[in-house]
Amino acid sequence: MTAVDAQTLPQDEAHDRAAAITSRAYFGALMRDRVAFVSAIFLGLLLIAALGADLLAPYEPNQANLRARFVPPLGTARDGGFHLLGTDELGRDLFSRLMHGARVSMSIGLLGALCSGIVGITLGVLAGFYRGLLEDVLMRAVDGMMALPSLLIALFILFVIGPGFGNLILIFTLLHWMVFARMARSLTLNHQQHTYITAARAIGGSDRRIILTHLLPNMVSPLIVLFTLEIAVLILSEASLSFLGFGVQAPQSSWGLMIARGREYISSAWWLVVMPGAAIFLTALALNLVAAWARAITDPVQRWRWLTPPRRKSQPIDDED
Amino acid sequence: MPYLLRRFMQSLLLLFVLISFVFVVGRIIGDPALIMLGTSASETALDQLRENLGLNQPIWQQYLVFLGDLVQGDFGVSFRYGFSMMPSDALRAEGTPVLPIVLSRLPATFLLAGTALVLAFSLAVVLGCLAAMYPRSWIDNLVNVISLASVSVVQFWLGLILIIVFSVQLGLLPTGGYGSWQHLILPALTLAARPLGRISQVVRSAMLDELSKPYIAAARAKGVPEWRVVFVHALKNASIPIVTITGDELSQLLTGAMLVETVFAWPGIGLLLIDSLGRRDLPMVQAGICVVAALVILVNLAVDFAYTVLNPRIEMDNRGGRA
Repeated sequence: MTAVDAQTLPQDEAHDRAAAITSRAYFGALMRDRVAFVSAIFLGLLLIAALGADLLAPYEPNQANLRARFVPPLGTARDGGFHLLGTDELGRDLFSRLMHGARVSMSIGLLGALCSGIVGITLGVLAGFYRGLLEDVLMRAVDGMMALPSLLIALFILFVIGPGFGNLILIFTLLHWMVFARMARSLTLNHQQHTYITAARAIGGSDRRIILTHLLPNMVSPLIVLFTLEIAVLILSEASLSFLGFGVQAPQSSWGLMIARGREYISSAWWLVVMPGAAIFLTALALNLVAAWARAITDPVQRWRWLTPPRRKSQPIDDED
Repeated sequence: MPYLLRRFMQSLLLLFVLISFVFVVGRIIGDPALIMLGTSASETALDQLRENLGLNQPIWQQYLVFLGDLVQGDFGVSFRYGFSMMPSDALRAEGTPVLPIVLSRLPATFLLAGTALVLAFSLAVVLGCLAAMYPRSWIDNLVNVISLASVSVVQFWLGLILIIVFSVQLGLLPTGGYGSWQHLILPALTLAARPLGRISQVVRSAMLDELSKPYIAAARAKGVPEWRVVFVHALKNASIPIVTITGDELSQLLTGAMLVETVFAWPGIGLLLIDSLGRRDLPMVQAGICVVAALVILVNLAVDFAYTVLNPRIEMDNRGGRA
């Protein structure tokens, strides 16, 4: 097939192709979008590194080694040990510590997004489905809470109830459910006008059945995009709270806490600050890129372009149309 | 009820809810005496403090006293202000009323946040307009990269990187402190990064919308210079989403300043708050939170006001939300 054929290919045919969406098509689309592909690989590796940190880390993360203090990145300690990202003030291997820190940072991001997602989606769907007083009260609460400075309130609550992993999840659930509630409600309102919901009701489907088997499955993709973005937001928030001393506490270690510790040695050992921050930056960047890709791919208006195999050389990334 | 009056009442209600929330968290979920003295304090010391602070009264009575004091601008006295790191502050004794201290830190925060906002806003408008004028050019890509990076980076880390490069390695600028314009550069740059990315993205998409409208073609057809078409005709009509996002970013700036002030030892309200948290000075923390929250609410109100001025056509819906 020549390039000219490709350009004159009728759009209808492309739509037909898109109708047969398979997981292979999604994978193919991911392969073609190089940036999203690299991001997904990065996140996959990160997940493996976090889960398998005990087995994969080259050094014990809390093992002090005074003969290997402040080894710069790619340096070799006096005892001959090679350190990819250098070592800290106690001679602990930074790369191994980052892998273990990934576990804490990622699980706070994931768990926090999951908990706030469950609370927010439940409330949002109920509000959109039953309307009335529940919706009024809930949406006022959402508007009000969105207008308040959340980092400040998180700090104050943690100040009173004390820092720690569990309390962080609690705070994130309390302060982040609104985004999910707002989106779940508008999606519910949107879908309820469709014929298939009327049809489900006409054949006698109960509210519970309509919500669980008809509404929710149709709302999954935009919510997953939001979920991905929220993980990034929470990883950043966790870093900020830990940096200020109200997040994760030693002996546990997260990336934010590592930056806070490294700050003391900023004039002599720059890598102690740069590396954990770079890990946060790359993770959040990858999550944002994957979310942008997922949004494009699940948008019915533009996904046919992604899911059909390319016939032109470049596939434009287009968010305007 | 007129729209603005209703929004004003809503803001007051929100402030009241927040103050009550501060009371509930501070007094009911937590024990103020324990918060301030720490778990190692003796039972007699705790009792003494409870007696002094009136914590033995019924909770509703405490609440009324708390509200009554706030209305008179009395947030209580600082518990241990005398230990502050600031040399000028160290002269003052413990037991100073907290509100004047919090308010005295406001100018520094305003200076920082204001500089960052002006910096971010002007750069974002220029970049966003250029990106909309030349879609898919390098400048368009640059705007995309900046906005993506700005939501992925941790602000305090960016500040530390700037310190490493400009203070430690190059030795050009001070690592922190307050006083001269050199002290302002790094914190303002750090704080400006996030709003720069967010605002430029919004400017770009709003301008793309406007530039495709017929009146732009008409303006071009009658020979108006292109810069005038973009920066006068289109920008004016694209201003509503731009003002909204700028307002949102300004309220983010006020809390973001907290971290940046900590990194650069900038003596604003954020640094005071973090110091007070560390020193377990509950009255100061409460006053700081109420003042910052009041500012954020005020900014949101101002944005809604700017709305009605910029576009009188906007029909406000019954729920009082932004159109």
